[in-house]
Amino acid sequence: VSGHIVPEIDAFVHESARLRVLVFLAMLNAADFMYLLRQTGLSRGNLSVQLGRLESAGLVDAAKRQVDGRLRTAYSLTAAGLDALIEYKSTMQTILAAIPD
Amino acid sequence: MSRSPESRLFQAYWEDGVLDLVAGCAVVLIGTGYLFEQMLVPAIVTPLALTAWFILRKQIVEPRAGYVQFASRRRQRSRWEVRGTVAVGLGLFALVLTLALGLRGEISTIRDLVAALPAFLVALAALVAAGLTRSWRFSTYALLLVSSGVATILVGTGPAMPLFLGGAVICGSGTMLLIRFVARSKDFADRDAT
Repeated sequence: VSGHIVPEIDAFVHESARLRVLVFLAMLNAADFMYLLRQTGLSRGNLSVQLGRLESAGLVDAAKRQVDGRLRTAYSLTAAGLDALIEYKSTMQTILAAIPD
Repeated sequence: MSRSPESRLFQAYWEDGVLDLVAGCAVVLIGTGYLFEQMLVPAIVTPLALTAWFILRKQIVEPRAGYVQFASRRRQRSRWEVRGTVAVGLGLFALVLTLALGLRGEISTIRDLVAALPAFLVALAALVAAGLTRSWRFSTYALLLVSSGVATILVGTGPAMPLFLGGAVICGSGTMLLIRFVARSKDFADRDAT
């Protein structure tokens, strides 16, 4: 961010639970709620809330697909979500590099 | 060697034991085929085992572990590894067939060597599975199969024995892993419900 020596962090992405979900989805093509629940270690309620917020922000896509005769909601990162995460990584790298050893 | 988080996720995908259980049963069945000189058994058992793995994964694992689709780069890499494996497997199968036919009636030591080849082939498949799934327990299975294959050469027991032994161990290991997976899933569900 211009005018700031230390760049500002995207607070929405930086939130611990949301960041965790985003990072998991960045590593995968798609995953359902149960997989994310087990892997992220978040509570069912928290994960549900965070996925809803990420979906509303356009960072995550929730697609209902018919898999083996069952309707399954598969979550995946959108292009905007990936961009936000890349931007966040770059900001954090700048910030971390500024911390003296 | 430190692995990337994605690599660890991929490894965790195979830790339910279903693959071990199905592969172990398949190896025992192949051993039975050799015992009764039914050489077509591997050709029947292999697609059956793949189908069984797919069904068991859908029925037992996915409802508990969830559904995941790995990134296209990972899937592409796995596809190439599977293709390479099939090519190597077919090449080795042709080699075994040539040896078996060419050495028919030769001295007993060479016949014993040929008798150990099915176990060596399955060991190779286990080694490939170790690489494909990033699960090093499959290397242990390979080592066991090679050892029992060597024992076959030394004792002259025929091709069925090392396959029975190796298959039973793989099957047992898979059963234990599956029991642990189901128990952990129950713990997780109980914790999540509270």
